[in-house]
Amino acid sequence: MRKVMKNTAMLLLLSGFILCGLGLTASAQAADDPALLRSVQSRLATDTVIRGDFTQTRQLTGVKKTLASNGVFVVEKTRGVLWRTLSPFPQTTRVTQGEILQKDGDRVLMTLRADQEPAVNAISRVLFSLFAGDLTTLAEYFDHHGQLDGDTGWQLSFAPRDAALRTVIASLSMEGDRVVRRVTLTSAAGDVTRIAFTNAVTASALTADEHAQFE
Amino acid sequence: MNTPSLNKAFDDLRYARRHRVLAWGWLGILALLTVVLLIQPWRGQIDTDLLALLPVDERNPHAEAALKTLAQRGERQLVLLLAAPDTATAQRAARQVREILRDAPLALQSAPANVEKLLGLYFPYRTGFVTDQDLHWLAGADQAAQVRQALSLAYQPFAGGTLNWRDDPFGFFGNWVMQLGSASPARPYGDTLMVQTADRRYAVLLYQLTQSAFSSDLQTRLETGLTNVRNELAQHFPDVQLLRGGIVLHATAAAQQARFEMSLIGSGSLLFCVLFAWLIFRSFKALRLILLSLAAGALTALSLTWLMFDRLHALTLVFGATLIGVAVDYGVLVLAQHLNDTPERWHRFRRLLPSLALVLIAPMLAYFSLLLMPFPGLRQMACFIVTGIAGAWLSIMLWYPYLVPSQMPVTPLAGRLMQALRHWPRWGGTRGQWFITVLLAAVLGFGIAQLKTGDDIRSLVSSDPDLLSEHGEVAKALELPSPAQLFLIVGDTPEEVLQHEEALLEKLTPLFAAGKLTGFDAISRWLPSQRRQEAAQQAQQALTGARAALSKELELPDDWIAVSPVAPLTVDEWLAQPATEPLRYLWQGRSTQDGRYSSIVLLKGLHDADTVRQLAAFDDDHTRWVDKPAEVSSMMGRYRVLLSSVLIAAYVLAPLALLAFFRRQTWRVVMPSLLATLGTLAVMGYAGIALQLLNVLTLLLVFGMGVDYGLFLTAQRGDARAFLAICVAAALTLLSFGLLAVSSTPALRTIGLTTVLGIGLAWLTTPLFRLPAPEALASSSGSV
Repeated sequence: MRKVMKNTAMLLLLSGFILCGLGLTASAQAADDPALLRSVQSRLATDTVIRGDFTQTRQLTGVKKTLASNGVFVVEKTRGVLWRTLSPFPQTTRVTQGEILQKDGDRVLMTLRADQEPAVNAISRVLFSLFAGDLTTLAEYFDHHGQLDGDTGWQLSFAPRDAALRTVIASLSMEGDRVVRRVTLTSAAGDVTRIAFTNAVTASALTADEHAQFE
Repeated sequence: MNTPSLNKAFDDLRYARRHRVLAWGWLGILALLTVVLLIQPWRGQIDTDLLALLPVDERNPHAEAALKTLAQRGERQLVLLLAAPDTATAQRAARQVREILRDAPLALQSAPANVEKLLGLYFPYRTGFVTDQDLHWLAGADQAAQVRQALSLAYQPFAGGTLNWRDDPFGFFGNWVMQLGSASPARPYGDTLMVQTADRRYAVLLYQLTQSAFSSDLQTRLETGLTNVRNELAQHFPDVQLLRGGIVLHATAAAQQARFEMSLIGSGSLLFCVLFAWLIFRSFKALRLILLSLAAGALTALSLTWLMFDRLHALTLVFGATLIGVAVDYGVLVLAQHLNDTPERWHRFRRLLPSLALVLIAPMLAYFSLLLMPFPGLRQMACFIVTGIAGAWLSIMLWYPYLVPSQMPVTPLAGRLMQALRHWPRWGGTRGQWFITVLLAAVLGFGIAQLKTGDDIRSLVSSDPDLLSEHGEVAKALELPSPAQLFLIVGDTPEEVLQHEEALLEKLTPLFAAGKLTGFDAISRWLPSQRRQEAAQQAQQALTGARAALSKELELPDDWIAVSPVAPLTVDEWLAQPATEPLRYLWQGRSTQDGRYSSIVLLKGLHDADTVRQLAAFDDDHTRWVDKPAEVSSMMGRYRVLLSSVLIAAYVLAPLALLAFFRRQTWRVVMPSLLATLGTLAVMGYAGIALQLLNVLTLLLVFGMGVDYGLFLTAQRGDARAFLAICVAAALTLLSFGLLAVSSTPALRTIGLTTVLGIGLAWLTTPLFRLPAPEALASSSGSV
């Protein structure tokens, strides 16, 4: 096999890393700074469901215009992640066990299934293990450092350890308190994506509507 | 003393003088062979591949070359999988194993293909690399949909990695690269290649052997390394399971097995031989003589085979161990003649000379015919046996006159056996005997009529079941293709080959969809034909409108809009890239024989015979279906037929050769082995054992030895001492070949069983056709 770092697969892998930050919970594992990770975790909410709004800007290499978009997101620790862009045009990305699906309204734009692409399984697994609080996985791929801000805040920066991973991601940073507030991702090709999360609330269960979207 | 006897004595004396020169000469040659054996370095090459015994198929040189490339590539590969419950454990175990195997004769290989580097190669040609699915979409999408697709990717929250959106705005190239992913389920995770299935994590370690898989030095060192790995895992990683895959493991197991069986069969034969000879002769001198001829035979066989072949096949050695049983025959024949016999030794020896010369004819005829066959392995076995027999025979002929005791007393066992001959029935052509004969002919005929033939090579290959199941899991986890059933694509130009490949893969689509095949390895996955690349570029011209709209909306420079055509990536350029090296085995290149180009398409998940039949139906001039097991089996069949005609020819030619000596009694010489052969075939028919190449080969052996028995008994005119010699020779052969039945190699078991049946029957039937005893000779008109 080859070091295929497929764009789509990898970007979704990243989505896994980032989104899971929203739900980081359980015990800290061996890491560069286990004490820091433990502290961050202790500041994060433990609820099963987190939902809220996001605003995103992208600065693509060679493209003058800054691409701005916004939408809503839902994370359910056992089922997966729903990422719904509302503006400038509606689009939904859903990551569940064994499948990654992208929809434009009701039209399916792309499906990646684990039985066709093994990486999908890995991605959703990483995602799920992280939702379950398995920090070891994250620490395996990234060096990290950061700090605690005040009584509730924190900042973490991640840099890929593996050369193969570095060909896709240059760096990744996040900050937050009970939930993740801001994420910045710089791709290896130089594209910069900034996401800010607002109105994040935690809950113990999905709404009926959200439930339907996971089906 | 009268004149004739004086003449005879002088004659004997002259003969003795000549003989002395030859005896010393032979001793010199043996000394030379010993030196050869000692200075010739032990190359340690013991072949265990049963296919090495078979000739290459000359009819399809492209296919043979392709299979050879695959075999050479496969021979040097070793795959270790570490199965663990989670990724982290698997990775830690993999690091530890790599450390332990640092000094093993192995070179760690990185991922089979470095896509990261390939991306750099493909990038300038990317407009030509579009999947079928995207081409289909492109054909139906209007400008709005095209723009929407590109914008969707641009806004994708985490899109972009190695590639800029600007360079692949519609994601076509990304999707094409993505489909390369189905080439293998292994993915790099950190410093380790991993395969993840629903319930297991496998760390994959790909190794290349630094020496031949058949080198015993490598096998020993590798074995040590793997034992250390197993100990380490047991101690520190109790939940990690080691799975091994590689030809070298089978070769090691088979070589160990062969060595064990060789020593077991060798020492067993030797033990029986010594024990039996002791019981018959009760003489240390006789024992020493038998062992001497044996040693001379073994020395000749080993050193000459050594000189002529650069690797020894395990089967040769195991088969050769049974030579013990054959080589002592002649010694026993001579020694038995000395029992209770007083004439002067030179005279007695000259009297034996004709019989001793004749007994060489049949086995030499049989084995020389094997030497002429295009079987590398069988030639080696025949060489081993012919030289061994010749060595033992020469030693007996040249040295025994000096070494045999002038007289040997008859021991009780020998006496009883010699007595037994008198009570043995003898064919006299009576009414009752004819009746039995007709009955027996019916029984034999009925049995032979039921004889089946079976040439499936797989029934002869044995392998360690543990290794097989481990290999099965490795192949399943890594989705390894079948190495012996594949398509060979042939074309006049490289471009033609790629186009034929693409056409074939399109035809296979229903089989992939139905799950009959799970995947494939082919060069066209990595390099589309030029025609296809051009078509993809052409199709993208339809995107100019969408690109103009995007450029306006996202504020891109105007020169981004037009996509200028590029010359397609060619096979030569592709092959020249270091990154494509791990995939080059799929490209066979240009044949030196007919100047045509060829490549192979390997298939994954091929299991059922029905699919194999469907695939075989795709066979045409450009797309050859190669099914090695089926081909070998059919070749085994062809050679079974050929060897059967050799056997029949031997039964026709040997009597003709012997006719000059035995005249009207020739039938007595041939009858026992003929009956034994027919009897063996009938038993196999009744028992439902399929006749195959190795049985026919063994029947050739039965012919050689059976004719010897008949010949000796007839030449010695039904002498009881000759019968004793035959009893001893047959018993030794039965014991030594009988030991082959303990072999774990089905091929050797088959040989053992057939020999025991054939030689046993030959032994029992030989006395039936003896000449009337000398005292009765006067009354009968039988002439010799």
